[in-house]
Amino acid sequence: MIALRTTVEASDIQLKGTSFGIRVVFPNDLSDDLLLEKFEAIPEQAYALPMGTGLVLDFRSRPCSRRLIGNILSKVIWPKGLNVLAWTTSDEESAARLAQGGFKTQAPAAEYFAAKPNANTLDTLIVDHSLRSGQHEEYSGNVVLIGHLNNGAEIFAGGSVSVLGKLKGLVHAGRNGTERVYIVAGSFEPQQLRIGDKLCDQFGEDMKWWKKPVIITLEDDGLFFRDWKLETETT
Amino acid sequence: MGARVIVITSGKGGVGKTTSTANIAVALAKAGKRVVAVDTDIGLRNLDMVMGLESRVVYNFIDVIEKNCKLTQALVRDKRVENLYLLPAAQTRTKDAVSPAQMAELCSQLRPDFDFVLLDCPAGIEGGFKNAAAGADEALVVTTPEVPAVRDADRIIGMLESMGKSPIRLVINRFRAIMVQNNEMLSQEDILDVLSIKLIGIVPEDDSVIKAANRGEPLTFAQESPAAQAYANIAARILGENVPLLQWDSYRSKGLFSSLKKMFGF
Repeated sequence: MIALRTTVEASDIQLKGTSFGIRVVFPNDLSDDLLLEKFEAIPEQAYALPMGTGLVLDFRSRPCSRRLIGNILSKVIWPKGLNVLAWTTSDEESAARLAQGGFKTQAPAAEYFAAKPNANTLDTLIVDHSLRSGQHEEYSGNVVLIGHLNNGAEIFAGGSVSVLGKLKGLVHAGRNGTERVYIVAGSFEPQQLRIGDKLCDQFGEDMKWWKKPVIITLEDDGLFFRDWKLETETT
Repeated sequence: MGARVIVITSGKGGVGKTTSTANIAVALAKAGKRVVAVDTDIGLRNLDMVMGLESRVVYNFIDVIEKNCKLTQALVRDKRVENLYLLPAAQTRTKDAVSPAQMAELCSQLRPDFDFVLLDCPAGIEGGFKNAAAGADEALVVTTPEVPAVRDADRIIGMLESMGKSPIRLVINRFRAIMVQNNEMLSQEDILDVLSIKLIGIVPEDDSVIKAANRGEPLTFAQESPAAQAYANIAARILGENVPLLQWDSYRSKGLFSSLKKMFGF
């Protein structure tokens, strides 16, 4: 993934290159009007990547009002002729509002897989049975587990790790230090995860993603969760 | 042909392996099968006490392996039921006194004379477990409805699977329906969801288990308590009978509160 931002202010809109085009990440700390003003100010050329088909507008946890949606459409998207593939947000009310309005709220699956060149060029180990407590897989490339990773079991991979069943054990993706990897869980229930040199153990039943299918990446030094849904991309 | 050799194991200590071994052995013997219960917990033997045969132990299976006595001399016959024997462990030796190959050989010697050889396995995953499992064909994994016990059971099941033991079946011990109902204890479904093996029985928490262990009289001699009934059912399922799982809620409904509710008409 290529970060296109040239400044490092927290309140900037970030444009991130992906395989499908650009993910536009909106900050939380700007007013709607200022956000719109900054969004309008981005020149059309910024969206012109050699590859890609459109934008994903990523609101993260920022509330997304009807007025803001309308203004983004009328003042930026339509005048500049931009193609929006999805409007993503972790704010439940905003997500419901967008879905109700007929907007696509699921980012293209390709973003998380094709946009990870490190992970994709590695060999993949496929484990076709659940790993029980005490069992351990270690591989220099990617690991796909067709089964559950029980509490007490471990997977250490140089690349990405996909657990198609329940992820209750320990996963370390990118163990050689690379952070351009992802972790997929059919049901997210771990006590601890590691990506690259980062470790996170603040998981529990009170979190939104608990027992849900998720894709986890490392962004801005934090774990970033998205729903994991299998979709057929038509674009 | 010969005996089915079943190891009763758990990983975690204190979940009821020895109690389960004694009670299932008695229940199988009462069903007319020739049964020997082997205590493989060298240095920490308990099965002789739980079965009430402590005072009659002369030799142990280490003596058999080291050819200090014949196998028949080390077997302790239980006089309360036909065809039930105990092969005790040595209390003054350590787990290193025997190898997996020697345990397998011992089981081979027992097979022709019995229908069932039940191996009471020590806790842990080290030599004691490996010795006990070496001679077994099948396994019963005992767990209690607690997260640490279930994780240890999962560990043991993985090891048993890699050793090619089959079938591996689960006994849930010390189950409390009321605590499950109050979301204070793992349910049967929670445990099976993790362990993914076939359940052979659920033994409820029952004070009579402790009393019986102290008396040296396995519950299944009398079969009057809920736990005794559960163990008898497990034995029946080992014999291939189709016995439905007991609904432990029914025991609760027979309690004092239920009687009061009935009395006052609500």
